Amino acid sequence: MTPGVPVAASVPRRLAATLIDLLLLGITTFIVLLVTGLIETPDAYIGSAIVSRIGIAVLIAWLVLNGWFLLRGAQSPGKRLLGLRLVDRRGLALPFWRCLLRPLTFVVPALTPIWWLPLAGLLLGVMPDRRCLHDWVVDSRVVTVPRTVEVIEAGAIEAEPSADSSRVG
Amino acid sequence: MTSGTNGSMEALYGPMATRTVHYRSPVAYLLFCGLLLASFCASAAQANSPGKTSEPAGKYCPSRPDLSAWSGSGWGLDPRNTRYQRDARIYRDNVSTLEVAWVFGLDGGDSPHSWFEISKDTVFIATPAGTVYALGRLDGCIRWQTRIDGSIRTGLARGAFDGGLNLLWFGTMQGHVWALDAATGDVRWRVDAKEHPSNMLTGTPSFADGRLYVPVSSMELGLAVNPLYGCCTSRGSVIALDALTGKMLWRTPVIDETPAVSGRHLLFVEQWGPSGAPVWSAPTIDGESKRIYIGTGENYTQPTSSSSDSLIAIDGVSGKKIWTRQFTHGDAFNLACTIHFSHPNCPDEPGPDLDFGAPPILTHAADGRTIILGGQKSGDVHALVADTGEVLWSVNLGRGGYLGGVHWGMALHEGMRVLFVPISDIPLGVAEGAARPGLYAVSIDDGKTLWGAPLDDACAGKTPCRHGMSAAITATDELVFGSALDGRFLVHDARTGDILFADDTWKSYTSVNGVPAEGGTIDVHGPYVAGDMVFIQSGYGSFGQKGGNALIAYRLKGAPE
Repeated sequence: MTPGVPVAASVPRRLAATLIDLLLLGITTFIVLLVTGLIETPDAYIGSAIVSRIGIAVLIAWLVLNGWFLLRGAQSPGKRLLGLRLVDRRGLALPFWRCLLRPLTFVVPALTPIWWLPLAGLLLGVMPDRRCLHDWVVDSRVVTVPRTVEVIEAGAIEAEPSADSSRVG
Repeated sequence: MTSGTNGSMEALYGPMATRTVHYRSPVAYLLFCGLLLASFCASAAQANSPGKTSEPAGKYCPSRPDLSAWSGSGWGLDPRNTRYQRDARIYRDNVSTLEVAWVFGLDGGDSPHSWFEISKDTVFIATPAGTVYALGRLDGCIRWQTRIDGSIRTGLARGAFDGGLNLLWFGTMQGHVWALDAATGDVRWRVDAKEHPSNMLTGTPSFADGRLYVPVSSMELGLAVNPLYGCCTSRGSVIALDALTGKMLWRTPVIDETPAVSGRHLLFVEQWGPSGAPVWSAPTIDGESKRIYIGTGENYTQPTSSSSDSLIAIDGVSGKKIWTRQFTHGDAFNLACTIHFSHPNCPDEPGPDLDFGAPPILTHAADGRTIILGGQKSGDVHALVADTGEVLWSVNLGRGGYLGGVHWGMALHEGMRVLFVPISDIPLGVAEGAARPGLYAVSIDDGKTLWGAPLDDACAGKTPCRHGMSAAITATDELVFGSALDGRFLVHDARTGDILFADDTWKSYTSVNGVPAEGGTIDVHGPYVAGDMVFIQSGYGSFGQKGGNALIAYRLKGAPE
């Protein structure tokens, strides 16, 4: 392996990053629910209100937790901790809107009878390019961040944002 | 393509970036969206398909129910809640010939929670799925069935009106009271009984003189397990409705005070009190004085009230409370305490949870005074003067606990002047001492125990199994019909307590309607005796018990059609 060259991240490392993200998301959701009182009153337990309220809290928590990092460098906190990054097939940092779309590939099917599809799609991660179903849908891949370029990445990512967007289409 | 430190993205990600030359159409994205769309369409089509609403399998009988005679009325078989069945042809000398006549598989999960009304030829029963069935008494054929929007949690009550109209009433977990025409199953009215979003109906409504008295309970007992829930703001109550139209006549909350903020936990979550004191058993009606009597449960939070764990007399016309007699003071408890006493929603000094879950029984003392008999989850039975609430005697028959002591109901034999009391005493709760599960006979004149029939432990080979008598019982002239949490249907001799008949329902049955029927724990309302038949539901999965869905009909062997 050439030093400084990003490679597709290993499945265990991606899994570890996901677990970290889920843990942080759970803690943050708890704090959001605590502060907002979304499920503190009895009206939250009528019909399916509890589901929508917790959904709102998860969304807020996800944006609080991931928004800045994804916008800044296509990394969730877990990925950042483990030196991973989301890129597109050209190796460019994944645009923010596709970072938002990526988790929805799990959430939306969860509301339908094919909730299992993205979970089954995780098995694609054993393929040589290690791209799961949700990577295929938003055209992303998870790579390790070369340590040698850490020092310049911030400036570099900001270098050509408009050009990247137009090329992705 | 160059590499270096010129700040370009290609430089950062090197060879991987260079591999992508052509832009591809987002095939995977489109395919994924297409699958989602197809999935939505398929589920919508399934929801609207005729199969969703078609009648389930079963034997149907075309005739309407014969409503010219009934085996009893309401949860207690009479408005005084005696649970004494006059319409019984089962005696000491023939009870051993009882045999299973048919079994019906109930829908809606493994914890059926309703109880029967039985006419000359029809058994009426409801399920957690919201289905009310009218079944042929002799063979379980379906005369009609009605599906309502809600989970039916109470027993059925019944009343007759001019023109031959018979109405069936019941309540749901969603807090609605429903009225159905017993002849056809048509819905006559539905009323929202809630004054609080968490209100639900557990106790069976009671009917007399054109009024329907509905006890109101609360789900906050369980919501409290969520540490982010601001426990608790609901109060138990009883409401009176015009039984024919559903018009609300009055509501009487058990707790007079309005709940107020009493503290906070986790910095943000407000704690409220006083709260709780639910009413989850059928009100008892004195037709002469026009009073009703209710038993109440524990407070959910502190401060506690003076009306929890109490027997209360209420004027049935105005709804005004006449007297309140509290038997356990300071009992603040909710299900958060079953997780851990340090749970934020468990009161600082949790109480023992000693509700009155068994409906009070109205009868007369030897001197002619009207008295009330109340059974408490502490294992105590109390006799009170109905006029004043003065306590005549109390007797302790069990250790008590979260699920009794006396749990769902007792039965009275006025001819023998004996009260029959089932004791649960399963090891849940803070009570100490030896458990005394079984059936007891108590003199209503002085509270003396006449006999005790300790329940043998028949849990061997059964999981999950508990040793106790929790379900309500029914008395007849010579017998006491009860059940055990281990799934046995038991018939005792009313004179001695000896078991004259036992049948283990903890098994699978072949049902007459084709729905797999599973027996298990027998709890809640217990057996219903009607003529030469006994009806019982087996399987109750709440509280970690063995669930099921079997409605079992027993009949004396060789009984004439």
